[in-house]
Amino acid sequence: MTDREIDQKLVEQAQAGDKRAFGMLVAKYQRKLARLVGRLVRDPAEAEDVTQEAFIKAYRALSAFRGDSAFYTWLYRIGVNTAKNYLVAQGRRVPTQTTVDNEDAENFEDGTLLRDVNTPEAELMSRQIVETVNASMEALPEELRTAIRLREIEGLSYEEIATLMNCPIGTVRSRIFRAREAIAERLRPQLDVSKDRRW
Amino acid sequence: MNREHLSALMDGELDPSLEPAMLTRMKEEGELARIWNEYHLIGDVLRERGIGNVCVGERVARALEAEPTVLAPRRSRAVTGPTRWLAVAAAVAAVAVSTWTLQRAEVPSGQRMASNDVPAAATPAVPVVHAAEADPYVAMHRQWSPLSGFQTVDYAADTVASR
Repeated sequence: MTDREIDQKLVEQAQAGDKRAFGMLVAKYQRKLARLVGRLVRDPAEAEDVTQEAFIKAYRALSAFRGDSAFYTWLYRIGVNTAKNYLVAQGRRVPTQTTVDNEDAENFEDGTLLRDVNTPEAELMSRQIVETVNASMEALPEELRTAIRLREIEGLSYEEIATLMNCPIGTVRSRIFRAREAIAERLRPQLDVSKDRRW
Repeated sequence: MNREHLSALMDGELDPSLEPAMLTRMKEEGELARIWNEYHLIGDVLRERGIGNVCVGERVARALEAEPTVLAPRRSRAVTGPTRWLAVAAAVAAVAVSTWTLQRAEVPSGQRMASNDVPAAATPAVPVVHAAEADPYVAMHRQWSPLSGFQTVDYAADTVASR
């Protein structure tokens, strides 16, 4: 199953009445959507409210989602429209021609802009998360670090990674999993502390 | 093992036979749902995506409790991937076999042999039968023709009368 197919499966389950399936999609895309919304609605608290509203709108409109486009592409448009409507309702200026309008959802990758709109406390927490992940990566054995880098950053399939690393696909699967677990292990204390702070 | 399966599922690399059970467990077990979120966070950080202090998941979940449950009518799933091409190939093959069978049935046996690639010298001599002589014979034995599977009607009244 491809990433898109996993999303489609979760969408179908949500369309059949399973709200938890939609919750998995929220967990997956909340940071990406919030970053998008944050580019239009600069205030961090407002951006989070608008992100939540966009997810609720998406849920309400889910029965109309046919799967012709990727779920995130569809969610991206809802996010942009929700943010613009929010600005109009607030009597604030809506950017007439934004970079957001000109981008396609799949290639929306700039991570620095949301940091600009974070509060100092949130910015500190974000930086700590990044530092922990980066430090965990550096501490990984070489074969684990290479495997997860090829997967998460280069976007290669397990088969391609197996060819590059000259090992069986099962080994690639195990290495990527162990890398994620090692990073998550070091991240959990921070996430637990910040849980009440909306992580 | 479940976590490793979850990791593979995220990457679209889980054995398809394990996917339905994994998706179900992921939703039912809070621990797996938490790990799903953590793994995605790690991926987002590594790709330098937005890593702001965003966690609207719980807020959305609470808001959804007040929402009426979405119940979209089931759509028939479009046949895609290898299954689609197998279906197309099967349809083409069926048409080809039907056409070939009908053509064989319609072409006189003498013509069929003539169209073979066997050298003419190796072809056994076919006795020449004039059409006028053959017609009553064919009419009398049409039930043995390759088309006998189809219901046929004999319009040659004189032939029927002469039986």
